[in-house]
Amino acid sequence: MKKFFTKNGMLLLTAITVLAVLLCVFSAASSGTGFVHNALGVIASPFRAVGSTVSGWVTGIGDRFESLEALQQENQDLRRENEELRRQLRQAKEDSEENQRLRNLLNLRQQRQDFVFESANVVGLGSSNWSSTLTLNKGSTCDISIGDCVVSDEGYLVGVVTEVGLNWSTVSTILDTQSQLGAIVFRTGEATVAQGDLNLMNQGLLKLSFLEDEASLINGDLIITSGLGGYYPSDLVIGAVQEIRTDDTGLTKYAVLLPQVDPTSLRQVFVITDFQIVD
Amino acid sequence: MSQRDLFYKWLFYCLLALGWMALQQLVLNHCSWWGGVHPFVWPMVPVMIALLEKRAESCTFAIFSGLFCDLLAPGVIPGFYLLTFLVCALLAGLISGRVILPGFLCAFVCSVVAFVVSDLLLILCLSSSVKFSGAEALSLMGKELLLSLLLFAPVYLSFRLIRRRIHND
Repeated sequence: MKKFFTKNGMLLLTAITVLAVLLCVFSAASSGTGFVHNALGVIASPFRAVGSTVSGWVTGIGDRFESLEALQQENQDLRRENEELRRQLRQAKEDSEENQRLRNLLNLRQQRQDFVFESANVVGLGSSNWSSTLTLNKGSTCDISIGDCVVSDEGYLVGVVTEVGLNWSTVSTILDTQSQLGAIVFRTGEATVAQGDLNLMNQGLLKLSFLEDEASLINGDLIITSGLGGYYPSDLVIGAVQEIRTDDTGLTKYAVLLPQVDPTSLRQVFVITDFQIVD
Repeated sequence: MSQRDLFYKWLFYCLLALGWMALQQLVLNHCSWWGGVHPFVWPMVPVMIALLEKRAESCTFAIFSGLFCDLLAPGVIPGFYLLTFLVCALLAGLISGRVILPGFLCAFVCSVVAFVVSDLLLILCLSSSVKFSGAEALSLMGKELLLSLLLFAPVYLSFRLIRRRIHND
């Protein structure tokens, strides 16, 4: 075999070259698919199919790896976007709440133009079962002083400032046992005193004492500050009558008041730093 | 005990005390279990230290923790917790070993005494400015005591665990 190729190698190569050139010329000259070309195509077809499958498989694997990386990247981006959207939603909710509070305050300001308000955040809640206090994040540098009334955004009385520091103040809520406010019954105009009570404080209630005519009171009667003496502003809503009880001695009656706002649930309050005394 | 162990022991005591105080401020204050009363763990903290450590050290701890509580949540009078914690720590030191053998029962009795003493001091302070009946005050005191004692075991065991760990090491 080796001898055959050594002897006739050149001849064979020349013959193949001539044949290839003839095939090229023949293919170029013919208009359609020639017989030889067709026959070669038929023979090569299964090999092409296998080649295509293998090539497709390899490309698929490569694409998969590429798309996995892209998916991971996309997933990361989406997570980041999701987190950002969540943060924006939280911010929007907070802004919306604050907006509502400020709208309420604006409404209150329009109603009571004699009030000077200072907004403050509640930063602490008293720990004791024996008192009901709040700590605010503003103090004397914001003109807050002892005896200032503190209201909610809707104008409901929360309590009275009892201690003031430079940038903090303590508020005794209307539920606190030390709180005592001149009040009047809105419907009848009867003067009375709203005060904290040890027994009622932890239930979120307060007491209406020194009633002249307890028989005239009905459940749901609104109790507001009297403003008598000019110590506290008038017409601030304290609460509504929940029930009328007789005290331990059995001689006098008192009303139990449900405050219009739960002082311990507030996050932002407004301190009335100045007001006009109405005689 | 080495200086290092001593340092770690007091560091962990302080961290644990801070944890209980934070739990009080952030969680327990917002609980309303029995007629609106919530458990109050603060007086138990200096008592536990007084039972586990020497008098001088426990009194120093009581003073600082009382001061911290006064700053965190103002009491009825300025320095109320400082005074109360110091008295509670001294009483716990007196009871432990002299009246009852140190241990779980002693810690329980000392905690009850601490609550009674702190509430009596509070009533004393309040009575000068607020009018209330003795029955109301006793009722509130009883509710607070019973609710707070529910947390006695975890408070006691947590402080004892630190002491045991440090001393065993």
